[in-house]
Amino acid sequence: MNLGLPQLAWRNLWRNRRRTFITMAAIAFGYAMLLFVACLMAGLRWQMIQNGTCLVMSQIQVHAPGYYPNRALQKTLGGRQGTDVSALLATIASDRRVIAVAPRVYGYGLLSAAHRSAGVELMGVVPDQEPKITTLNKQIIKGGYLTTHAPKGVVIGDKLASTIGIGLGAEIVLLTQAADGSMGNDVYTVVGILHTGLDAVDRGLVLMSLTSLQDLLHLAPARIHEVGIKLNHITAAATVAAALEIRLSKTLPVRVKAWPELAPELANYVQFNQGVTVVLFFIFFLVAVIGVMNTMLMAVFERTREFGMLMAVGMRPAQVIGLIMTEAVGLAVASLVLGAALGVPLLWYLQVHGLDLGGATGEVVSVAGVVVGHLWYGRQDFTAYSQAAVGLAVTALVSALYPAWRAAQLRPTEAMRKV
Amino acid sequence: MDEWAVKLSDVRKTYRTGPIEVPALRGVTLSIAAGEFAATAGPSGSGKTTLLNIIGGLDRADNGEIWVAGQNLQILSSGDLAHVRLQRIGFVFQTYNLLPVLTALENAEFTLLLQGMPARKRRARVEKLFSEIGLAGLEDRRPAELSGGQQQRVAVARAMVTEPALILADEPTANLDSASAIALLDVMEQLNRTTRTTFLFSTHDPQVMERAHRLIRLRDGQIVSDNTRNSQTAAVA
Repeated sequence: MNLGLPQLAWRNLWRNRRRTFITMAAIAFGYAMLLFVACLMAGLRWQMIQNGTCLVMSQIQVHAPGYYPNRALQKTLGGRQGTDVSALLATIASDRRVIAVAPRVYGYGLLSAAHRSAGVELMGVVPDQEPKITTLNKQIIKGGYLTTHAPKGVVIGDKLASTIGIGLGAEIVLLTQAADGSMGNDVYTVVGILHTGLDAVDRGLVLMSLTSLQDLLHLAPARIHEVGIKLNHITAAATVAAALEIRLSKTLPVRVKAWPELAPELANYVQFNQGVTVVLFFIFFLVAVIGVMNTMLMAVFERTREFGMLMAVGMRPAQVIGLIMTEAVGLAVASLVLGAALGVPLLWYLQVHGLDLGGATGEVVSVAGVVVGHLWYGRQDFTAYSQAAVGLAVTALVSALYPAWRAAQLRPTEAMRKV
Repeated sequence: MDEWAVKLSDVRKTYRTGPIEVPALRGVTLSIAAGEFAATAGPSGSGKTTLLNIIGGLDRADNGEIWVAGQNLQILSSGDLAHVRLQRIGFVFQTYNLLPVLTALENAEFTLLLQGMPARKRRARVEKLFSEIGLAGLEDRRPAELSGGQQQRVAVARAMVTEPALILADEPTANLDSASAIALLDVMEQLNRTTRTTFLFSTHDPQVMERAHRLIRLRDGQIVSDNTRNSQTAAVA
């Protein structure tokens, strides 16, 4: 290989192999840990967003103005006349970023069975559309999900079932105030019991078919409260929501809200999570600064005489700085490669197997009111990985500035007198 | 080629350490013609190394004029001095000062690399020089794998390869045994003869003094004798 300053810098790095290797190992280990943490944090964010939006809420919701968050029964899309639900769903679904839509109706009532009763939230869904945007159908622990063949069937949470003392096949009475001011009531059969891990759902939700709830609430088929939407990329939720609101508002007064607006506590947690990741990055960079600066300062002190000779034979101070900076970059790049080699198996393990958080107890883990699940999976966050890599390279350069500047200030005659 | 490789006029240099002043050169006036093979000698503290450092642009004089290869060093900036050192002056140091991570050939070509010469041309020039000074076959050895004499010859090659006007050699034989010192002097004298490059040594070594065509003796920062070997003419500056 032809000699050049990069080759000289690389060989200089390996003069003191032990010191270079220890520094490299420290930086590489730190980088691998950064990848590990970034992967876990991204996984946590992803799991929380997925679970927070896909369990019940959906990623985007379309309401009549003023409906959310009070959920007044009368405020259906299109007002008292309602709207052409099929046309509305078709319009929303025509956006190429939308992969599924489903209409919903909500109400509140009293569930009674035998001698016990409880206040519940009623959620009416289309049995074959709702599973495309949420995962409630996958949370069934006894019985089955709603079907169009059994319109009087309902699914309730396990804690509600336990509180009321009922099980599968039990008959319940739902009593509610209907949209026309009358009392709505009917008898239903429990066809499924679900467990989500979210207390509000497990203790208070009654899931039933959209048409059954409309009948109970005396709502016409054209009257729905909400359209839930699932996107191909959840990160685009706010953008799509804004675009949909503009588009739909041309024919129907609507408010379209994305998940950060629907679940601000979840959005806040996601931001907090990202902030923690950034703080961890900075702590690591600080450690790296100390490591690289120590190594480069030692290298400069040890080679004072040599730098004097190099400047004596005509090397300019800028070239001395360039040489030391190149050594620092070489150290950083080699550390990054080693760190990536250490980190990739970890990332793979996290993504495929996850960390078992509730392994001992088997309990479902929830964070900030959102179910995470007892397995914490990692998710590849290549943006964070590259930011960490670039940050490390910049850190190495900044760390080497002082040693390089010191070397460039040497006077050849004095430097060559150093032993 | 300029008539004079080095021309000094009333050069003075005093080192200061706090209140203590140590005069190192006290009005040195000296001319060395292009192609000379000259040495400065004298006891420790006589000003030999200071004189070489000032001629080499490594240090600045307090007073006087210093002309080297047609350049007035006193008026040059640090950057310009570095340029003159790289282009016009070669250095040979007492302790060789080779880079341990480079091979013999790479050490010798290093100054050409700093000059920006293409790799192929550098290699060709160094290989030719190596064969002239008896280093052929040692190109790929690291300094630690070479004897002291071989290392010093590599250092001479590093100094010579840029084809400078002047080679400054500070005690080049001080760390060599007698045979290696003679071999090194043979090499340098041969290069002086064939390339007409000016050599200026500082030395304690009687062998160097004997081989020098001109011997300039210093004491207490002043030239006390200046003898040319053939004519044995004394000329006190």
